[in-house]
Amino acid sequence: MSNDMKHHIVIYRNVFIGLLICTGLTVGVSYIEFSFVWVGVAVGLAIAFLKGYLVAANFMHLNDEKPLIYLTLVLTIMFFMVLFFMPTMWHGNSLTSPSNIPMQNGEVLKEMDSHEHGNNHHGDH
Amino acid sequence: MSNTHHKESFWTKYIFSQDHKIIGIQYGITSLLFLFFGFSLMMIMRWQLAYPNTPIPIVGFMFENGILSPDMYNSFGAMHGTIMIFLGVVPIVVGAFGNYLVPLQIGAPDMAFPKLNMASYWSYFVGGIVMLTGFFLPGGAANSGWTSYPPLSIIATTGQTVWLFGMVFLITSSLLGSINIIVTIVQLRVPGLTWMKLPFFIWAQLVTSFLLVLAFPPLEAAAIFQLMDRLAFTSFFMPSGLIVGGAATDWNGGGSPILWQHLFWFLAHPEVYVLILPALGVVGEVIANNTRKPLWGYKSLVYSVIFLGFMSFIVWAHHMFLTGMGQTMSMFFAVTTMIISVPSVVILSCLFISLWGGSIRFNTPMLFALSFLPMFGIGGLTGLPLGLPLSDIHLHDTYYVISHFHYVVAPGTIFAIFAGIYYWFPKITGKKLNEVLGKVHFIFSLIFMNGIFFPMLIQGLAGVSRRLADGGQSYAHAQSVIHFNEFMSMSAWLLGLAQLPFIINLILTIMKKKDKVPDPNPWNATTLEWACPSPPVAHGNFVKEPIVYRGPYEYSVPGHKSDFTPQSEKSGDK
Amino acid sequence: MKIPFNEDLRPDTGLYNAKLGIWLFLASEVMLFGGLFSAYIMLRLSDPNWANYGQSALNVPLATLNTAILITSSITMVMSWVSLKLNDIKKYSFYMGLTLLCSFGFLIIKYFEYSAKFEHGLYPSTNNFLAIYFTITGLHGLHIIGGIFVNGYFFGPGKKMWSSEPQRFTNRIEVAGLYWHFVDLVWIFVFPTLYLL
Repeated sequence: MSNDMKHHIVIYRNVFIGLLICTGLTVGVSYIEFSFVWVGVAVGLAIAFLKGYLVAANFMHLNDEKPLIYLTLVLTIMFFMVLFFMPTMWHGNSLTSPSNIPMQNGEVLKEMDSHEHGNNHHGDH
Repeated sequence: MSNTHHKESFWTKYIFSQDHKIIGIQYGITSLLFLFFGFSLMMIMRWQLAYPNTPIPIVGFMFENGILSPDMYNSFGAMHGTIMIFLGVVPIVVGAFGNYLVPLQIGAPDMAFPKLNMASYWSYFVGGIVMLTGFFLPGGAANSGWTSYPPLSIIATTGQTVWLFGMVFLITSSLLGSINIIVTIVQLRVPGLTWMKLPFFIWAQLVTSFLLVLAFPPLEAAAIFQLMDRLAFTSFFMPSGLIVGGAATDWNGGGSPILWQHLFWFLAHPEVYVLILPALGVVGEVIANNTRKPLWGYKSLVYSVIFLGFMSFIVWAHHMFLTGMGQTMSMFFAVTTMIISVPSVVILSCLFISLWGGSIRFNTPMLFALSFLPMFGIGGLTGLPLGLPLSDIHLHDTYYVISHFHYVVAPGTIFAIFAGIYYWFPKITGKKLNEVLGKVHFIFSLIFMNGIFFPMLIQGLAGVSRRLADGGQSYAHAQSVIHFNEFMSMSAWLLGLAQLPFIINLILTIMKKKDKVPDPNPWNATTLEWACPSPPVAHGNFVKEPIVYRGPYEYSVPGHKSDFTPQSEKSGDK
Repeated sequence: MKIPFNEDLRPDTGLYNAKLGIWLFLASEVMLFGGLFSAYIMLRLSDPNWANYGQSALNVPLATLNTAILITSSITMVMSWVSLKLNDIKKYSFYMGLTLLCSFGFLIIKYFEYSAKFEHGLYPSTNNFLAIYFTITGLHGLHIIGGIFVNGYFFGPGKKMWSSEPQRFTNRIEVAGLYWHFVDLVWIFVFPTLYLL
């Protein structure tokens, strides 16, 4: 039992170091200007998910946990994803979004387009 | 937990009890009182609808000029909905029936977390009191509908803030209670009670509790946002440029009223399945027992109820078809809504088919359970045109919707609740309720329920909007159907009167002296709750921990000595 | 009357009751923060003016330090559980004490962050970014306070249970640890979302 625990302690220490490194990475990456905004978002979230996995799998022992527990969690994450992605899908599909407004002339469409992407720091005004 | 018997004071035995049976009864009494109160609100509103601008008899002295002002009407309407759902039906089906029966039906001595159980009851009680204080505030209680849509709810009077705080207590109570039920069912089943030997009632409670655990938190988040909007003047839900009473508001704007609708309905749709699933469970138990044969299609019932629970999370925006959603979203939610009707129909069909070839006993619980089937059927069918965007454009926010959801909850769930009370009363008290009074209660409740809600379908199809303080009087398109208002109001008051036999029955039976050794199984039923004394042993329920040898509905098994073989009986054929 | 499987594991599920209970509670918390994040996304997508709302006013170095502090508290929390498993009550107190110290440190830094905002006239009502920032970090902060109460109880009066029922006490620390790791987990997502992205 003691050796098993010692093995666990080594893992915990390594995870700790890994988490600190990832934190530094997250901050560092945020200063990089990617060509597309969403790439930055994706990288940031990916690192966050990695850190989350490290905490959940090792500190919360999810790695060795019983099926009942992680099946409940899988179910929860599925519904979480629904909540998470719903605003993007809704927003892109609402009756006032550009894709639903009929083509009038090139000017109108361009104006709406830049209005939609106004929060992009590569915006054209 | 200590095994030694310690002397309990009045307070720890009856008030701050950790015994699931006492807590179940506490939930039962409190929620029945709330149910009657919520119904009384509606009886007053129905006077207004039948006889607009005429002073209300008996209670009219409480209101200015003896009539309900439009604001007051809205307040009664919002509180009627809130009280019936959150303070009445859910606490009865989950808090009362769930708490009392789940440990008994699985052979457990109590719930997994008795202290948490006590906490969840008192959280509910406090939440209920907090909500009711709204009526005594200067601006009155919440009046933005039970749905509390912003921006109206943000600029509403203090009653709305009180509503939000009340909701936080109620959500907490719900979460603690449902976690308790899931752990109890998973961990405390007695030896031999495998998953596919569980009574259908337990499956229904399990799925219901999962819905409560996962669906309530987004509403908690939304309630926090709304509190921030009202108290800290944030603009989560306040749009830009809002003009109220001719002037700009104190909010900076930039928010999204639709956001509230999403977060609210993400809970509120699973919530309606929370209202119906335990009821389906109760009806299943009563039907199996009173047809003297097993439920038809047990496996289909179990898989359907699980699938239903899962689907209930991805249909919510069918309440939002008229908010300007795009066609892809519209199509997605219409399709999922149509799909979710399938397991409901499967469950209803299994219950119907269970009657075939049965030796039916027409006692009071069975009468309520039988009438549940067509009533819930009407409720379900009227949901279909609401789930399809095209027809919903005409029917949304009309009396058709009111009729639909009342059919499923009122002659639906509430009839199932009555069935359950008549069925399990002898287990709780050792005495059966009077059958004559029960049948009177039943027949008049059935007639008047339909008297109230059927004409609403006609009014809704004609286009009469809901939440109108004058019931549609001032609209030309409503004139041809306005005469139903008086008829429906009469039915409502008579429905109220029809509950008197029930109340008298309860009082008389409780006061009656019980037999020296009450029959533990007066209905000759098979499930485990009937294998313990009536009422169950104070600490531990069962004299000896039962062992389960067979399925939950072994009625009329060929070769067995009687027409029922209890789950805990080793051999049935001697 | 004893509730079965309070300490010993039920054979077919392999769990003791509180373990299943806490994971269900954490599932509900995932949905709670899910609702909050969903709102954040919806508000940000529907507001073209978002970039002007002052995300640059947030103190990234301070928040990075807070992240490191919380991660440290997570490892000290798991080490306190390991100490109990190794029968070392003194080490347990040491690590639990460290966890509490880190928690207080986090709150103190939060206090400085908030007061700096208020001094500059930045309130939740100022704009929607600040509104969601204060709400999410505030709710997270409330969860930290809750954790402090629980861990504080187990550091102090609750520790008595070790002498009478060591297995039950160890389980309680494991359950408290799961809650605490979850609080850390939420911050791991909150930090980049609000401060960096």
